[in-house]
Amino acid sequence: MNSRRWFSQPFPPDGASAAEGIRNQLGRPELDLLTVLVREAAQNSWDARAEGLNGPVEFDISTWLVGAGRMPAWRDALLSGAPETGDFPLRQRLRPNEPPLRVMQISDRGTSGLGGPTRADVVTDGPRDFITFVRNVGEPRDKELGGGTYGFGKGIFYLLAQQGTVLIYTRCQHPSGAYETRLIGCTLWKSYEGVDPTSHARRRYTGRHWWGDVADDDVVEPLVNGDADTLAERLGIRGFEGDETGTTIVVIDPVLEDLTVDELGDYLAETMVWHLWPKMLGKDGAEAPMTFSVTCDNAGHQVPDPRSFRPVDVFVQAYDIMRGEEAPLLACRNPVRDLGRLGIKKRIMPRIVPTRASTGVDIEESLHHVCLMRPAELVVTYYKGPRPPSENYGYAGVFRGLESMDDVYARAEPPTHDAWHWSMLERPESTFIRTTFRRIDEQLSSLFELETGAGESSSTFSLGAASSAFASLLPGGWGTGGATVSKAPNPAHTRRKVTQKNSGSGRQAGTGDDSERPQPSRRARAHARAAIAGPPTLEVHAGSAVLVQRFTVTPAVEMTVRAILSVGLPGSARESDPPVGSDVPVVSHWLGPDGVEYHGTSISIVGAPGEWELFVVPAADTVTEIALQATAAVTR
Amino acid sequence: MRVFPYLLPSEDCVDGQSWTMLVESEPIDLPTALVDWDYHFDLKLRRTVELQPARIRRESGLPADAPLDLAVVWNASGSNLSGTGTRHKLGSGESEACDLQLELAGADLGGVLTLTTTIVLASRLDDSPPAAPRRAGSVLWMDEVALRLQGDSAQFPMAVIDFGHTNLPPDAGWHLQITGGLESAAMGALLLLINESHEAVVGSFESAARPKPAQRAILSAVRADVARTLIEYSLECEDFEVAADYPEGSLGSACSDVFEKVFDGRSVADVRLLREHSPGLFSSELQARTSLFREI
Amino acid sequence: MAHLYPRLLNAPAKELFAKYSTEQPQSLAARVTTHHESAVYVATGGDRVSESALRDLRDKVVELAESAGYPEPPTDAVAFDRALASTLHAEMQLVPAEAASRDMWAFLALCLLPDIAFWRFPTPPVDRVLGTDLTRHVYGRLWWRAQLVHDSRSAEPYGALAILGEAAFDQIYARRTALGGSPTLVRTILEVWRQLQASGALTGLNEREVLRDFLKRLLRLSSFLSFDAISEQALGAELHAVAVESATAVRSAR
Repeated sequence: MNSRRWFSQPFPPDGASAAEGIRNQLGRPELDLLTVLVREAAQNSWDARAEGLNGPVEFDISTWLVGAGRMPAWRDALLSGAPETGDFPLRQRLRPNEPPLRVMQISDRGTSGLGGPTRADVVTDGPRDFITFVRNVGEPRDKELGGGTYGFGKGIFYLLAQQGTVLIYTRCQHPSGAYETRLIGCTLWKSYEGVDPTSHARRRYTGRHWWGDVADDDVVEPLVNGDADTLAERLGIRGFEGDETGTTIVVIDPVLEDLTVDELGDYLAETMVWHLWPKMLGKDGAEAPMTFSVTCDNAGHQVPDPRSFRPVDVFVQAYDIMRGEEAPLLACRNPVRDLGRLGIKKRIMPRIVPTRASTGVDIEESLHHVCLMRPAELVVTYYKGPRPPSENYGYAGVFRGLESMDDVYARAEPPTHDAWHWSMLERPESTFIRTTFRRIDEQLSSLFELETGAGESSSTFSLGAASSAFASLLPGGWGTGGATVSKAPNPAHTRRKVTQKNSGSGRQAGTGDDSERPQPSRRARAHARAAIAGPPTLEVHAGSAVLVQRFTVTPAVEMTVRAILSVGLPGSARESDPPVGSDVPVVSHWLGPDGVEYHGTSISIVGAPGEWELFVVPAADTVTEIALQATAAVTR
Repeated sequence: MRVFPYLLPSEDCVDGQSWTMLVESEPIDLPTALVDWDYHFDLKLRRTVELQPARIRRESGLPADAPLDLAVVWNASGSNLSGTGTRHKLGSGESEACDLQLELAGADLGGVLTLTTTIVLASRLDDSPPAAPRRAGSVLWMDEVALRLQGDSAQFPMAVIDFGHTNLPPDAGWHLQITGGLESAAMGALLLLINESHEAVVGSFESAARPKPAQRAILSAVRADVARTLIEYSLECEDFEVAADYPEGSLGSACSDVFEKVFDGRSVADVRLLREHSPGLFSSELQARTSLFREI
Repeated sequence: MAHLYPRLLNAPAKELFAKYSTEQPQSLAARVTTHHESAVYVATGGDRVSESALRDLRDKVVELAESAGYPEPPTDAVAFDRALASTLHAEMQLVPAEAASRDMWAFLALCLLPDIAFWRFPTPPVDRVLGTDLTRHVYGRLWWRAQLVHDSRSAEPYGALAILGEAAFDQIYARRTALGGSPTLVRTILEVWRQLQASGALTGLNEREVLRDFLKRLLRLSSFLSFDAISEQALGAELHAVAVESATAVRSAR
């Protein structure tokens, strides 16, 4: 039996994924298949960029009809070992009386190619690209900050192929330095019940088929090197030159929707700009990270320059703003996390002429969108912001998540990477996604003052009463209404009067001022007290003003009474740092109830009942503050 | 105890009557707090002070022709500003009654307003006798009242604008503007806009302190509509939950509160269904619980 | 028409301050926002300032900062402050009652103009940013300086800002509460000071020392004088006499 043939995967006793299941993993994309193809393929290419390579990643899509001269080679190769079942439609498609066969070739260069082992059960520290691309499904990404996540993206090639068949032709460089090209065919259609070609027993098949060198253990190995190159050339597939590495995927009989070939070329080229423009921009003098080309039936279709292609050019301007220092960093407050940067470009712009590609991203006549991207700089989606108030204005924004947030945004994406859904995540990560959109909305609404409009009121009446009447709708929280002050006691309606008695008689003073000073002890204090009797008076003695403070002392206690004099400052402050050369109040003398005169700032007395007087010479033009301190003499 | 550096007249030289405040040209006794004050609330204040100028001079040791002023000085703790409210030169007669009137601009005030009525020496007297005041501004008598304008009670944010200048419907009477999400501060996220060119509505808000019956009905309707808008906004927020732990003072906590008041104990999902399937009943329940027209 | 400004209350302001304190001033440019989730406005009393007005204000301040050398350290911080004081006061349409709000200034220093705030005062103490002390706030103190000295009748309404340097002005400003917070008083102090300078009464003296002494004397007097109760003319004469006392005392103490 020819070993270069199809092999259909039977269900092993312990089960496997059916082809339908794998095909459905991509979900039901909202975008059309060609757009998904452009996005996913370019993302794969970007994630596969060769390390240490200087030039850009080259990305090309070509399509052509297989000429009559080459058809035999296609039939030769791909009919060999093709299962005889209706569930392998390629077989029927390759019949001579069918219409000419179209293929679509998606190729990248400057990428690493699908290297590593060819068998999924081999353990390796090196690359496993071949295995993840050809064999396995749903392996987590291994590329930091890559565009892809779970490797569902490759499903698009199979969805696009009308019979579910693609050819994979790749060249990689082994760690040893040697180059290896590989060619393998894969079909992903649907599970079926068939007959085993060897045992002729009926069995269940998964619907996955591989074409290549079928090894003795029924594992399909790719054709390599010379074998691969020769076949590729016979089939008319793009080959590898010099030390080029990369991957070429040939989708057999692709779905073209309702497009003519010419329309297809333009559509692919425009779709590339809409979805991949960040990769077309040379930044800081460097060349663009990727180049793109489209060829349909030998006619080249120019991929437009995003810097001049309207209205993508506005997004490019927003992107430049986003990369600038002034671009706002959007952040979540609770929990605290920086999210990403936003650049917005607003400008007067004529109406957009919608095209199939722009309609595909939901941009029709007016521009009011924000392009969302992760650090990999692949367009996730165009998020619609509020419509500008005037048709003559439009704006474009670019939001790029921070590297620190890449994981969160990546996990919020569906398999097609074309949205961020907060509902895919748990708190607090869902909050980050929600907040991202909220922050973007806030930034956008301020663009045109969409919130309040330009109006300034001219009425100047107070709304206080109405505002208080509505306050019950806003319980708690912050306010400045005059109704309550919970913290400070209400000082309202206090009356303070300047009073000063000009005669010494009158009311009994309630408290002495002595309690303010440190006391020798509770006991001693209880026994020595000087109580001020009314406010001090101002009297004129021998043409000068003198202050007289009357007071009483605890009878029969031996004590020291000290006058504490200071210049009063506003409030209850006392002056501690007088002006240069200024007076301070001083004690003139004291007078006991028996008429005995004492001198000095403090006097030692034995308490006698009756009224004592302290005479103070005030400092000119000051308020004098007088306090007395009584200390019991030390007794045992 | 403090003592001034000059003689002061006895207290009974001055009799200051209570302050009154003009509200829509009607005098009322000055309250201790103005619940409804805002920056647009200018104050018109009045007071009569009867005094005995000759005796004041005599008792302060001042010459009979010493210039005296009776002045009102205001000081607002909110703005930390002070200034002269009004000033009146005192004559030399035995008795005099002064009508003090002043108008203070709300923009300069805030916090607690203190009004100090004072009699001062109006200009320097270099040759004044000992123990008599000599510096300009020396206080011979004063009293103070305080009026609280701002405290910490809640108020609902409102502004009057002309809808014609905005993208709001020019004939609408009001619009509750909600910006920001449930976590944002309610006092920042909410603003009730009143259409300046809608006379009936704007008039009702202007007279909210003493509304006429028709105006009371309008205010009641707007209030109920605001509550309704908040409820509907909550229901539209897919992640709204009554029990959620919204920050204090946030829009979410305000919405929860309104929701609780209106749909006491019912789940958000339940009310969403009610609104979807029985919009009429939903509406009436709202109407009942928001006390629409109850005050009339 | 009065503008109401967003206010950043203490808790979120502290949070942002702590965060920004660890960042480079230039990187704060990316933190600039005209909107903060926790920001509140006073309920009524004016129009909320529009975001475009906030952006215009920012543009003007950034322009001033750039002409003062931003992002390099300021070439002449005094001149920058003076220019900023008049710009803030002339542009913001702020009523004093609103400008007395600490939270409003915190919003300005942390949301609208964090880069300029942290440039003007690298690793600032908290009161420069949070407005806990408006006499110290990077923007608030300047607005208030302008408010207290500006004279709308004059051809140069903010001319008085140039009479005293920042340190000297701060001496007056810091005693604002004690001296009654009276713009008339502040303006008269400045006017008297200008006269004193012009008359040569301060020649040969350390002006700051004399000013400090003058203010101490005013503080003494203010416990029994009411500066706001008398006419500006009488006030001017009285203050002039006090200032001369200070100059004389300082001169004779040498």
